[in-house]
Amino acid sequence: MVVSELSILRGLAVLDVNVSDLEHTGFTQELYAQLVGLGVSGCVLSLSSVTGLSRSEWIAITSLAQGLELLGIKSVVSGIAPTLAVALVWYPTPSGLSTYLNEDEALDALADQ
Amino acid sequence: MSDERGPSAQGRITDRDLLKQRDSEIEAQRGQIESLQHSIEAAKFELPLLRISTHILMVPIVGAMDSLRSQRVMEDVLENIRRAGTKVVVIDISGVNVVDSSVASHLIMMGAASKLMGSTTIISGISPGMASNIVKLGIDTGQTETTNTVEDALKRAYNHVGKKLVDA
Repeated sequence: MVVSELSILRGLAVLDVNVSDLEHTGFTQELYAQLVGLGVSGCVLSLSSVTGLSRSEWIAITSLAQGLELLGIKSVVSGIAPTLAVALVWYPTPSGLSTYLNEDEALDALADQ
Repeated sequence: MSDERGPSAQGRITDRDLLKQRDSEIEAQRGQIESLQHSIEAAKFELPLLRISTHILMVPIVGAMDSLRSQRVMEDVLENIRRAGTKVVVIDISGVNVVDSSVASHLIMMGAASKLMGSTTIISGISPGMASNIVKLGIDTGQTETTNTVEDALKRAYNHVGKKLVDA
């Protein structure tokens, strides 16, 4: 499987999160393998194309971020729209997860680390 | 030759026509009244969003606060963060008479939602009574900063954007 929504900007990975991808078996491992192969130090999980998320989908995204951290790839989330933010308030968010308004801010933050 | 019975059938205005005309006038008036009511309702919830600096927004809330109004504050503030890239939102509630559990929950929820959007919310004007209530209600304020005065809130806000507020 090729993680097609992955792009490299300023030496960092940006994943345009597609919720249906998360349900595919092997997606997470394939993503991890690609990012390790690319040798990136950080990854932005962009939710700018996402309008709604269920609890389990949000947990899948935060777990993805946690897994990347374990691989030494600092990961952050960006592009959460107002309505999505209100919905996510009710779901568990790991305290260490950083979130940013847009990809540029997220990339700036990752580049500073 | 003129018709002594009055206007011709074509030009005659019947009672039915008059009723129709009246109905449409009433309908138009009803529309105007509803429009005015909407405007009055909207004005009641109108909130000033004061841009203190490029990245700092201040929202002073005065008067009665209910869950509907706090919901409106949340929507306006989150939309402002999205549109203007606001980094810190200071919500001053020192002019609010009563903050019940529902309102407090909305404000705290807004703090959590704004954090997810990469912004920080500081609620200022928390009175001792409110602080006591919030603690008693067991509301988690972990995602939101709170201060007693607006001055403290602004100092913190400037700190967040890498600036310092100093006394003149």
